[in-house]
Amino acid sequence: MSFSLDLYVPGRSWLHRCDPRVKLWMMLLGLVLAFRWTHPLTQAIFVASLLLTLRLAGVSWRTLGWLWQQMRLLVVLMLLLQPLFSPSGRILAQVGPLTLSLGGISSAMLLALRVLAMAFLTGGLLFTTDQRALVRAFVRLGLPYTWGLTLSLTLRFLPAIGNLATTVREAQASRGWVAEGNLLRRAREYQPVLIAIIIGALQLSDQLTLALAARGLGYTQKRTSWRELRFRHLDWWVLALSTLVFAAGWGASLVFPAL
Amino acid sequence: MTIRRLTLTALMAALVFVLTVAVRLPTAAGGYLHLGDAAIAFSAFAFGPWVGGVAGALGTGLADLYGGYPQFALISFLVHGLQGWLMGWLVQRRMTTGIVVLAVVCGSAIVVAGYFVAEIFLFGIAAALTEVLPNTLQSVVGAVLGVSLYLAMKRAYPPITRYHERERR
Repeated sequence: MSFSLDLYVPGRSWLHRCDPRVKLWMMLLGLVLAFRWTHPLTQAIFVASLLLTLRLAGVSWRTLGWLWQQMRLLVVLMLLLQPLFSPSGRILAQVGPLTLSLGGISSAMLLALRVLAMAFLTGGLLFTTDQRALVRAFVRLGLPYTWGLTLSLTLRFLPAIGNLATTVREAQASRGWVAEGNLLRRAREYQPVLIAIIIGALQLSDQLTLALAARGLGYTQKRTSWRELRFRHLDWWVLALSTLVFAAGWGASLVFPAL
Repeated sequence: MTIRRLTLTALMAALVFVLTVAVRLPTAAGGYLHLGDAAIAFSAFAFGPWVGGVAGALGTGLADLYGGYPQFALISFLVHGLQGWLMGWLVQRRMTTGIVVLAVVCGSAIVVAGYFVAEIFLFGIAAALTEVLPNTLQSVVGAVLGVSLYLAMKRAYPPITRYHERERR
């Protein structure tokens, strides 16, 4: 079992080289816009332009396709079910209590596209940002250092627990342990394995506690770091441009409320 | 925050993550059923409200983000965080059968209600309604498994209670 689910795909594009704080800011603006615009067509254009941006930032079709694979079930279901729940506008068809209306279809498309937009926005951040850089950005934005450390330790523990799980399972399997049957039954059979994993993991965390204490964690309040996050020209340009686009989008929705 | 609590929280968050990702049954509404609740209940029972809450929030939130369900990340972060904290808080002082049942029921109620309300906003009422039953099933089964895991753990490895007492100081 391997659990290093790092979505980061290393690259040298402008989005990759951007400061993570700028990317967070862009994601936030994008989310606000996704909820501000209420017309399916606007939302569709938004999703298309997000896709274009990600492609321009060197995110491969394979990566984007993976994201779509994860999303498609929800999107299809929303398109099928939502129209029946919020009928409004012109009625197209009526079967018993079920009403298919123009307003229902448009609200379903809006919600589906909005979810896609959200997925691509988060994807844009996670595909192009190293986990450690992201945690550093959060700390620079005011997250207490210990919280940031908890976050990165969690991510670091994942492969360790995965290895531990493999070891324990192999050890138990060599003693004739098998897990089969339905889910509940298998969950019960997994219990001894899980207990061994947790004990092993607790010892791991004890060792880490000692190691961190030995290195003087929490000894000083002010922390220094070797690699400082610093805004470069590119960051200012991207920041200004994205804020401008956001302002334009917001302004447009003020002038044309139908957007 | 002591260093021990920090590493313990990170560890439990990782455990929640692993259990959330290890067994995933996709549901009709595009979400998935998982055993993360078992790990949340376990860490809440074993280590108290704060470890349980933060582990639940971080573990499921990150699992959603990195497992390809980013639309659920924020909901999971809030809902499972609250679930872990409340369960841990309820069983913090005494652990009688009644209180344990109450904790399981309250934790599950928070998960079901939280996801329902959030999904109405995000995906519309249709998708939200189809999620109620699977969510109830998942959180109740998960919490019961978590409690039984904790009891089995206490038998197998009595020193585990030490971690909780050190937390309280």
